[in-house]
Amino acid sequence: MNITLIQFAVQSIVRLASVGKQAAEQRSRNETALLPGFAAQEPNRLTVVNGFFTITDEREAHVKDGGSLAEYWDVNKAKTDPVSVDALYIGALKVSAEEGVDFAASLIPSGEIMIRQFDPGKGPLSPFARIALTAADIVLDYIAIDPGIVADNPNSQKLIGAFARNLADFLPDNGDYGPKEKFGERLAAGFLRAGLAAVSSNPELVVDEEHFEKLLSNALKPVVEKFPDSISERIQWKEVTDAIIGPAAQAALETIAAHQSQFFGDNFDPDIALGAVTQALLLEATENGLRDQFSRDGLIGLYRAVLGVAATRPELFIEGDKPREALARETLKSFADALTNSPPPFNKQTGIALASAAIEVVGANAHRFADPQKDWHGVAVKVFENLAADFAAALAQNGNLKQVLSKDQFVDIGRIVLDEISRNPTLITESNDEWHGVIRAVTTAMAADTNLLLTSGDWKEIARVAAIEAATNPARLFKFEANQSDHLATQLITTLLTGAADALALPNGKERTVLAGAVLREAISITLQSAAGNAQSIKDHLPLVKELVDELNQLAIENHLEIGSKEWLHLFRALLGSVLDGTSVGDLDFDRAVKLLQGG
Amino acid sequence: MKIFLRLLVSIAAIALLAGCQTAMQLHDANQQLTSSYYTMVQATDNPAMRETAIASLRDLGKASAASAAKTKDPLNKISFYRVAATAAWQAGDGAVLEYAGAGSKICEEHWSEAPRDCGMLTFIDDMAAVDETTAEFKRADGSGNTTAQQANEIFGKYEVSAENMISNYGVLATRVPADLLTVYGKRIDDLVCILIGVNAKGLVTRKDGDVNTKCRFGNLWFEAQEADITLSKCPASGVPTAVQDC
Repeated sequence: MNITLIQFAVQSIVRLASVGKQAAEQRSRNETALLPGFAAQEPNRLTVVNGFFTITDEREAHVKDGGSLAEYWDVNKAKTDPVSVDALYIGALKVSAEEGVDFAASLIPSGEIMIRQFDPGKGPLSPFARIALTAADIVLDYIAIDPGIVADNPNSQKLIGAFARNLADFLPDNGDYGPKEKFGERLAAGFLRAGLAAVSSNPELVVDEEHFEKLLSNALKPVVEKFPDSISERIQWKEVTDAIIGPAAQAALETIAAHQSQFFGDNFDPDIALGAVTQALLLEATENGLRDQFSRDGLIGLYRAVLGVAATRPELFIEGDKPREALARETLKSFADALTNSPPPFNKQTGIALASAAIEVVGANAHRFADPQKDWHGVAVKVFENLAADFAAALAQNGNLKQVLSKDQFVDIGRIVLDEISRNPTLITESNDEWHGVIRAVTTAMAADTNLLLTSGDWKEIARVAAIEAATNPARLFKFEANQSDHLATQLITTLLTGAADALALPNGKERTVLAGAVLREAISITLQSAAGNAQSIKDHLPLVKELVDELNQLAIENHLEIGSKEWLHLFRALLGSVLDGTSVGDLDFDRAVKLLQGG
Repeated sequence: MKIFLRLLVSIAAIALLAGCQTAMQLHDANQQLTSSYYTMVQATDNPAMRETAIASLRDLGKASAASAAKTKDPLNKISFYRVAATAAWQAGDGAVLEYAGAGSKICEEHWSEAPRDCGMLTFIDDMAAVDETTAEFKRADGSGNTTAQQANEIFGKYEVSAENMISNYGVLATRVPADLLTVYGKRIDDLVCILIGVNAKGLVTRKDGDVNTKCRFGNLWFEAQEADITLSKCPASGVPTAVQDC
């Protein structure tokens, strides 16, 4: 980890926190403020008329000698009897009216009013603008660490533009930020930081800004909308999203980089689909929590795999023009549950890789399902569960397998089988378990190979051939029935394995047998390929296959200078056809073998 | 390294919490000021409720002043002092002068960043003084024993406040939001044309006080007009001219 990047991340958090604090304070300071009016005097009417008619010469003229109200006026002030006071007051109203003033109303002081801190348009930057500028500042800091990011890669600008527009959606213009808005700001900032890193490390990435924007809004906005009210839940949401938003953003942008052609033009379905899956990840993580490092890595691993499906088959995650977040979430959740319940070692990293393989292969073939929007993820879960269970059973029965097959190689075998099987449109559907038959045949054979006659590379090749045969000749060798562990393919493979093991027990067998490794793998492949076209009759002739193998082994051991691996395979290929037709190889002596090798 | 990072993040979290706390206090103080004020003015027929609201405003004034003293951000200080001064003014608490003075001092360097608050802090003490005089006026107006001297003094107190406010108008004209300046002008209109020009003058007349109050009112009116203050509540005719030695 680059120490500068760690510093950058911490500084970004501190700076956004700080500007968030300043924005909150600015908002509080600039709320409208109460300005009260003067307290009312509630004067005596006698006082009022005395003041009114003595304040200017013009008004005094009304009460002085000759004035219309003089009879109610004493020498220097109003008479105090009620009649005079009332008459003078009415006179004041009349004079005011002539002056265009509502005198009674004017006696009441102006009331309280709420006042703004600044004239419109003349204030400092709004709280939102401050945060946006701080985000821009963060970007500038990132540029300082990676100067090429803007100059060499226009995607960073697009990402920043999309970020800014989404932030504007989260945050009200008046700066009235509640916990929900702050959470949105935090999410978006986390996405931006991780996004810059992803953009920087994928210089080949070319995506429209609008696509970024759509992805962000579909991924983050619904999550922000669901931000809970409860304080304890909010704490959990913040912790979880802080832990997961970076890897999620990284994965999303890397998915875009890997499927760039999907993210051009006017079709925004892939963005909506990616948004739905990202949203599902965040909601699943926040609402159910992350128990440990594995649950985080597991969820991100599954998320990455589902993103791949969403990028290539967006229609699976869209209904009309709306994202199907619930389906995406169900997919993640059911896989997370399946992983948790899987036997070791498939409940850890190996399980994530195996699950990812199942998601990718089944998801890519989801269009073959009768109701693709409903069933594919269920089948994918089932595929994973069966792969994990069968591999685990093989490991349990044959502990030696660990010496030749690493955990990753199990995943490779699972992926090979699924990849090959998926070539036949009918095989990966909810109702067809033929793929399971292939896995069961291979894993049962693995369990039987206690002498470790085959390497990991051999097993991969056998799995490939078996899967190809299953795909090209369905319902023959690998038709799976739950209670039938010894179906035809399994019996064929184990027959050859048994034959190979028996050869070791023959005199000089350990030193001279050729039926091991590549030859055994080739023999199994030849058998599967030959048997697939003649499955019905082979059921009855399995002992003849064993007899052929034994005869060839004996011949090779006794004549090891003349019968090597090439000759063994030539003879096996030449004789297998008639054996499968029900003809015993009989006693295969050296002369007959030589004739056969010479094409006789 | 991990410890260092945790420490940094913790410091950031503490700073954020402290910042939010200040913002919340300021917001709450504003809200409480408005709420207690309306409770007070609406409780005209309920003396107990009115007293409670006044006590609440007095407490708010003290609490806000304490927050102002505690916070380090000068703009937050100014806002807290504005709340404190307004609350003390409405509570009839003499501490309004202290609060307004403390706020105004900070405004010397930060006026442009808080023009409304600084403007209010400039004139709140004068408005509080006017209200104090009004309380005196009400007692005098309702009493049969008020002397000419007392009436003259009330007029004189109003007059001083009016002169201060008119003089401040020119200072505020270019430094506060237009809304505030307009409202401030209306307050001067109320003070000069009604509180002084009708009622204080009427009390003086009733009590046979100084006859020169008419001239003094005319001078105030003139000064206001010279300062470009619109006085819509004063007489429409008889525009005065300045008179020396009323």
